[in-house]
Amino acid sequence: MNCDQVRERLDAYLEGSLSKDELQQVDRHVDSCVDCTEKLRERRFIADALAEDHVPEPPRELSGSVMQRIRATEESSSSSQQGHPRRSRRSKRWAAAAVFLVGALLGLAFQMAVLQSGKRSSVRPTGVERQSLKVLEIHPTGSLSELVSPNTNRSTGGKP
Amino acid sequence: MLEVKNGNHEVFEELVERHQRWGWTVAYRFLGDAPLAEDLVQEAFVKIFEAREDYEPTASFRTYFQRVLIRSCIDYQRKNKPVYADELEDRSRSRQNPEDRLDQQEVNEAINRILTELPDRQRMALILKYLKNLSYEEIAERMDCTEKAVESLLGRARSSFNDQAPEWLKDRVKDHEPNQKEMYS
Repeated sequence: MNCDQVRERLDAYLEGSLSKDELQQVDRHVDSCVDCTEKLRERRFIADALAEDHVPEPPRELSGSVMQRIRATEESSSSSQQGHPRRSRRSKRWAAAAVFLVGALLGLAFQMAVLQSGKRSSVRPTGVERQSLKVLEIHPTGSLSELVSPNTNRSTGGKP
Repeated sequence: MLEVKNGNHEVFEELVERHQRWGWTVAYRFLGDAPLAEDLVQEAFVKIFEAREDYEPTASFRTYFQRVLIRSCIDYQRKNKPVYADELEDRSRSRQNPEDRLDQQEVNEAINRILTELPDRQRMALILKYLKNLSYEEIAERMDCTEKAVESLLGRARSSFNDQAPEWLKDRVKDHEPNQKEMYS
């Protein structure tokens, strides 16, 4: 084994999980390599320093506090919802999608209504047009010149 | 967890009891502060309970909880200044007998002090490897990165941890070293 191969196995060596053959190879290399001996010493120090022996015990009431917090959260959310069942995030997402869809449909309906009313307003006659139509009703066969200057031909009987 | 989805508090309490020690030791080593560690572990469990209806059984509860907690710890540290062990002397007293406590406390605080100097992700990788004995693959999965990235984080973390450790700590820890030959016998 070379230095890289030995260093890759140092953690497993310290954990005691190397095969007998690998263990012998690592031992043989470390005995003859100053750098790898130093690396092994460093690695052993870190593994021992961070071992659980040096960590204090967790607080005994931890799980009780977690459950207390969960119950408090549930109570506050149920009182704020005033008797409505708790909604999951997924059902909230569906509700939001439904609201969006209804909004989009209403928007579309509004657009169509505006277009329809636009069409209707485009065929509705204006004030001047209405007057012209009335005149045409009175003089259904009359020419435009008669309408513009009605006295011209009528007074002379149509003769110059 | 599928029973928890239906709001079964008792089953969830069992899960909390089973995983709280893992969570607390990691959070404590990472933050160097016992009350803060307790708070973050509680929050991680509450977060999981609240999101229970979205839980997809793609991973075990253990992996799921560990990922949530690790992310909470790193996010917390990113948003807040690290708490240095010097300021915390009285906050993390263990419940051991008074004679051993001073010695243990001194070692514990020195370790916290060195860890708080490390960048967040290096610190977390080091804790998962040497406190929890996770494999590179497991660390990569918990920390959302590649095994190559874990190797690199650990390389830098080991070197900084070792450089910053005072000689007295190295001597003190050496006294507790197991005999390697005994381990393989």
